[in-house]
Amino acid sequence: MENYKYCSLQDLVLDDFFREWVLLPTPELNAKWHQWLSDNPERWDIIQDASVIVKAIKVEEPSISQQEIRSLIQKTIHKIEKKKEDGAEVLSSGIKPLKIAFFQHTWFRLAASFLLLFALGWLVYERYQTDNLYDKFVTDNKSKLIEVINKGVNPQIVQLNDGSKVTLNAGSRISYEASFSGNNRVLYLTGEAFFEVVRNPQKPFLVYANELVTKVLGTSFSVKANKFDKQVVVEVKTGKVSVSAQKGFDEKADKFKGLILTPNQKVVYDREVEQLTKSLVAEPILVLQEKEVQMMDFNFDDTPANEVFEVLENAYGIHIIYDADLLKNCPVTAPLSDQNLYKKLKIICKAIEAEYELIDGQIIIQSKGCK
Amino acid sequence: MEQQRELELWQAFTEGDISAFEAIMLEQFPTLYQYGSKFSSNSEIVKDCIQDLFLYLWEHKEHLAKNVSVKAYLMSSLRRRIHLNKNIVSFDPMPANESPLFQVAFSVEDAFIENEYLQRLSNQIKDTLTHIPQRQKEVIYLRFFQNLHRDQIAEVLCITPQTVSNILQMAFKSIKKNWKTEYFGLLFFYFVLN
Repeated sequence: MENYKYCSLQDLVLDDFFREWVLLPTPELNAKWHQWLSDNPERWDIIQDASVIVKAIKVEEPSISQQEIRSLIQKTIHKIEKKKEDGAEVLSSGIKPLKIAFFQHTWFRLAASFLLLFALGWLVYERYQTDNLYDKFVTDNKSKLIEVINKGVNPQIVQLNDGSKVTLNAGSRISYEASFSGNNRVLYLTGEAFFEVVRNPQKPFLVYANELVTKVLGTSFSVKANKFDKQVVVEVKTGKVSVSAQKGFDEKADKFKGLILTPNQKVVYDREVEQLTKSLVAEPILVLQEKEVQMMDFNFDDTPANEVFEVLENAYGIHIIYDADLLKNCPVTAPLSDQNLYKKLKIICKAIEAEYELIDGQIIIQSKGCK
Repeated sequence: MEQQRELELWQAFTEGDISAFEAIMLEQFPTLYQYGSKFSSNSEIVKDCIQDLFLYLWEHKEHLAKNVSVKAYLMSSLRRRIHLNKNIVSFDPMPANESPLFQVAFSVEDAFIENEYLQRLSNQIKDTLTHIPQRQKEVIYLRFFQNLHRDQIAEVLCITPQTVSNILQMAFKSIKKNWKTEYFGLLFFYFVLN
């Protein structure tokens, strides 16, 4: 009790021992405090004030009569006794708070965690499987293979025995049989590469890259088949290329079932939905020999639109579908040497009030004709 | 002594003595009802939860701890129960481990105070209590108005006794801080008037 000699009013108000005496006095507490007060009569005032404050501050409590409490407890007792008689009936069936939502059960949470882990594991496994298509190809092939890995940051040129050239992008790998002794020249790729294949109709050149197989006789094309990409892309620069999904592809079959690609076309294989889509490359280039390019003139002066499209068709090697009869009344005057194909198409279509669409690697011109 | 008697009743109850159980219910019901009403303004829900709690205890009496602070144990169970019940009824997305909303209204009973100065001081404390954070309010309520000890409060709120002390200290700090300014202002006033 020594401390109480010097404590302030607020200390007293917040003091447990003091509050207990004020609010719940017992004979022992009374005795102690009265003894202390007679020893310290100068503290009488402050003790008075503090007890007034302690008593004055209240919490608003709801009122409930003793009678109601008794009747509620009787109800509870009654339920317990009824249960004793009935035996089997379980009381808690009617108890709301025990109905824990299904997702709050420990077993549910455990199950959910396991399911999640399992799903993740499965996903990783799946990924791993598709990632390793290349490894699978390589191990399945019984012949002795040469592997080239581009560990640098710049593209690496690989000269093949048959004279073909592969430009391997950074981080990409190829495997192939050095002598190409089989019926086909087979090469496996993971990553990105540009191929310039020497023509040999007796020995088609096959590129296995992720889920796609590209078959060529002799052309140049690029393949993008990165491990983690969602797509596999084959773009053709020159010549003809046929592309097929690797699923169901048979090297020995005579007929190669696949999409035929011509220059400036590309095929995109969506690995999720396993679908092949043919379209045009982002930057179509001229397919003509250099000599022809020099003679080419994209400066049109009052040229009928159908002739303009014919010129473009030849220059880019892309099939353009249009109604020649309708378009011959639509004259085009525009210097178009500097633009890329799409810009050219845009300008022409604006001039003749037509629209163009890219469908299946072809260009379709929609026009109502000109008067 | 009081605690000894409480514990004896509790142990009799866990051994299946229904009259001991009835005595516990009679004794604890008012406190539980007061405490429960801080979490729900619906008195029927609070009464239901208390009854459900008692039924649950009776059903599981064999598995209950024998050595508990009865009051704190019951308050803690009720707190959890009302909170769970609220979540289920309202499909509240609030996770079950979050603190339930604790609402309490402090007031000053004027009848006790003839002295204007003490009345102002009391109001000052009341206003401070009204504005401290909910957590501090609940601890103050349990400490000052339900007369629970530090360890009992820790049990009710499922926190460590040290945390209870810290929260109490924070509450005291704000009370004293607000008080001081008022106190000196009033003293000054007092001297001038006299």
